[in-house]
Amino acid sequence: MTTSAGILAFHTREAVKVKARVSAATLHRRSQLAPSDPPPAEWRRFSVDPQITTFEVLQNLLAKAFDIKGDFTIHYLAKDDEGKETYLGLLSDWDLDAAFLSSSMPCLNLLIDLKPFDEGLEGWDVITPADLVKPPLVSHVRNNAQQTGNFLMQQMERTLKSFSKVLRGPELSGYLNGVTERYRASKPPMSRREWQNFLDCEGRLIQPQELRRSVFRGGIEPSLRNIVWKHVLNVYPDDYTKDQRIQYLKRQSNEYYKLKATWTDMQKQGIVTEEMQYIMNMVSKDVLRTDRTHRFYAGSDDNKNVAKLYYILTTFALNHPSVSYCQGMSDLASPMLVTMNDEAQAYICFVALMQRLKPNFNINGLAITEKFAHLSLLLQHYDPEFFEYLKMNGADDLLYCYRWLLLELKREFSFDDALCMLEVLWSSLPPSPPEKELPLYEIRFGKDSAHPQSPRVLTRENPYTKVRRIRKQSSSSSLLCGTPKVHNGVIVNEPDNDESRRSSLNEITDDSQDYNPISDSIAHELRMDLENLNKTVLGNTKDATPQQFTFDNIIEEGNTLLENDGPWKQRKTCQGFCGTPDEQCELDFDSVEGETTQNHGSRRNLSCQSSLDRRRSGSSTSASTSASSHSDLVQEKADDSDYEDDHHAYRSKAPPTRSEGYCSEATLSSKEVSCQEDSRSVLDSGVLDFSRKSRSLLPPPGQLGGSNPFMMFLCLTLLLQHRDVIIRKRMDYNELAMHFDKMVRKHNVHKVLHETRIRFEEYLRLGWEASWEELV
Amino acid sequence: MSYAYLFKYIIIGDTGVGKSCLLLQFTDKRFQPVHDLTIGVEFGARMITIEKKQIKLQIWDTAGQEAFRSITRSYYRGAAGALLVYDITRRDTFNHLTTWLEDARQHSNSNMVIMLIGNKSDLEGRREVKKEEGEAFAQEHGLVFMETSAKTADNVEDAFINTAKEIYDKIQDGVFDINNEANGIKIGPQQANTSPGGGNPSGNTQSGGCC
Repeated sequence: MTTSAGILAFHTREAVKVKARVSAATLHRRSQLAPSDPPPAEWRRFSVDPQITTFEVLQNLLAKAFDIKGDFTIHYLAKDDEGKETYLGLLSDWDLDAAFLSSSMPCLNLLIDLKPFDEGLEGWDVITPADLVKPPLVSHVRNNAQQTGNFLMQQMERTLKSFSKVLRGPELSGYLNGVTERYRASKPPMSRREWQNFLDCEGRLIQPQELRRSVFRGGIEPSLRNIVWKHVLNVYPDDYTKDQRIQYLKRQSNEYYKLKATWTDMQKQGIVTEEMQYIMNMVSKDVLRTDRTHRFYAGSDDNKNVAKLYYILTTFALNHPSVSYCQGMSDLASPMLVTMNDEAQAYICFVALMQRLKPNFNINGLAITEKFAHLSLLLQHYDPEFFEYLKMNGADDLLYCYRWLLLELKREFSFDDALCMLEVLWSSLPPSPPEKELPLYEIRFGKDSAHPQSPRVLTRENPYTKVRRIRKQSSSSSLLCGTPKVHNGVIVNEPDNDESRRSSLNEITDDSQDYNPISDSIAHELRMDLENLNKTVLGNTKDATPQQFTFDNIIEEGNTLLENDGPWKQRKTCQGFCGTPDEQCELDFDSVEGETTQNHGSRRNLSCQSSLDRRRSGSSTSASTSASSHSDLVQEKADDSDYEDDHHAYRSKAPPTRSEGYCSEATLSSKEVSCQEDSRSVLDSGVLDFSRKSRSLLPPPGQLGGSNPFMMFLCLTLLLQHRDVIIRKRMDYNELAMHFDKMVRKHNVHKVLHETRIRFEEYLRLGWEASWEELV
Repeated sequence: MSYAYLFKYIIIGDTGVGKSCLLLQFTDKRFQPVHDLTIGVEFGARMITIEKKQIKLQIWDTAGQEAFRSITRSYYRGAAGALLVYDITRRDTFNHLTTWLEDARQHSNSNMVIMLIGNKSDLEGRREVKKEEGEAFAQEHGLVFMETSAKTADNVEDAFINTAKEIYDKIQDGVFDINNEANGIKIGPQQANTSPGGGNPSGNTQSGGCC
């Protein structure tokens, strides 16, 4: 009752006093930039009508009041439950409503922060709030009764929602706080200061591996994400200086706007091809269903950010006919736009991400099928008991993990947590910067573009033929009768065998009316398939196809590094150099940093074994014995003589310049330890922590999950964190699938990352290099 | 929760026709205008009562975009009922019905009961597909037909329950082999031991996601 009374009271208020000031940090920066400018007076006071003041109006008012030319962010002072005062972000109408409602008595206290980002971008077209057409205030005043009614209803709904959130809050947050404390990352998120340590004097990124390791361990401070993400996502070619990066981003942004203009102009002229129509329809439907509960995309369907997401995805689809648009892409592009808060830059980042993720959207489904197979292998390896339970319930097909695999778990965590999880995941991958510039299109879309339309669009004309075609390529029945060739857990498409597969398929599919599944459910069918996979994996590890990626044995790397004084020593970092206020300031404004280092091949891990090694040395995980416990991996003594062989084989064959590191915690925590001593002693004693057995059971890092091993381990962690409750409640297929559906956006990111890092670490320490040497 | 039978359903149809909203309305009795687009498949369940028998419906809500079908095609198999949904305000979703139907028939067991649903009946002003057209299509292909509104809940309950009735009748007629789980039907854990005539005393339709 008090709730509704509060709302009514709020809605009868005609004016809210506002008090605003510019943050001290901004003032400091300003005075350094242009010392002649007098710092603006501290406070501005005015009143607004809460009924008609939108976020945009407020922005306008503030821009005028403080004479702000660039972009800025607004925070408002709010009191939490314990009466503690904190500044909360004010980014949308939604936030403004909340601010009016909760924090406007006796007055709304605002803090303005000018984004350093834009000031560093001279020559950019910065659209300031002041440039925007001012909302017609008069018309607001003239709002008729009905509109006001609607507004009130909306207001009520929102308020009730936020209240119910608050009500659910305390017990949950209490629990989460405890968990969070326990699973906090081993390192605080990367700060601006730390970031600068990875750059040389000209702003070149000189320690890309170190950068990734740092992000892997602790994530990135939110305010720094728009800078560092571009590096971790492989947007920049190697070795770009800060200036080069700015120029590059400008070029790429212009390019994006050209690509966008091509089809939007066509649309304006009424030229809409079938392909365009199809994509535009699909995308427009989906952006209205993507992260709309996040304040950035919330509110009416006219939300500008929703429109930006639409432009990004449509431009991408038209210019990438091999994948076009596919559901799921909007989920992947959304965090880019929120983080970059710039349409063109978000597009560039999305393109960079899709370089890696395109296969997932391939119509043949092979990439995802392979990931399912690998996840199944991991589960069997790490928790055979749970796997057996799933099998008994026909749930070992793991189809309920489909969304995890396609969206790289983006939707399994709350939006902000997902940002952290994603950056950790991306930084676990070896850097792969574009050789020259990142191509923003596959085939440039245009009015006269005669390029073949995307298969997705083409086949829509006759979807039935496509369905047939897909079945022939990769249907579960094809998996059933013609077991796909599997090399060490990798499903290989065999064009040569097409004919034979087709004929065997026809036997099954042609009389589809009479088709009776061999098993009583598709789960069983897939199970057979998985078993086939396993057999092949177990039996044929030596036939593995050449690996695309190499994986540096961390330990070996560390050792080589110490012997050779690795290449990163050739460059000086600007530690200490960046310290003067001026440079600090300039670097602060470095909105556009570059993924750099020397060439890809010569990059290496700055790594050596840490105390983690010591703790674990002499033991290894084993598939056959890790029977019952999912978290406590049973350890068994490694076979020393085997190890010695591998070890020597590797040492003699491994080229010293070999690169690539999947990030792992052990490689990170090594600095403090005496690297040389530690890693050598581990190596020489021959009690290194790995097991040939495990190695032969699991695909190597370069193949696991389509070269994304960390993601596979994240999925494994999600499964294992719920295995107890699933078994205890004896959940059947549907129940456990629903259980995971209900966990959407609710997994605890710290706990999941913490456990995953440990397991991933164990896995990486299985000595893949040696295994690889054997196979070659 | 014990049940006499368990039926597995799938919901199929073009993207954006309201499949997830129908499911939510049926399982949770609510309509959520802003929701996530379905990736792959999502899962729901609810108990209903037919002829005093508790029946558990297990519902798989699939993604509408075709590209997913290389993975989700397998969901057809082992389903006893399918809701084939189109949007009465978008003719193209009606035009694609033939494709969906062929796909469903090809990959499912031949006894699967298919209910044709014209959704969004609350948007009468934007109607593009006449009710008669839906009826005609259903008749031509031997489907049951209904227009529903996931928003107002109109006919939603009936759509799911009528489908279940039809399946139930087929069981009574001996059309379905209830011992073959590939038909999407399972006998309840306790029912298997008791005599088939033994009705479940507990009465009304119950809702609730997980049991």
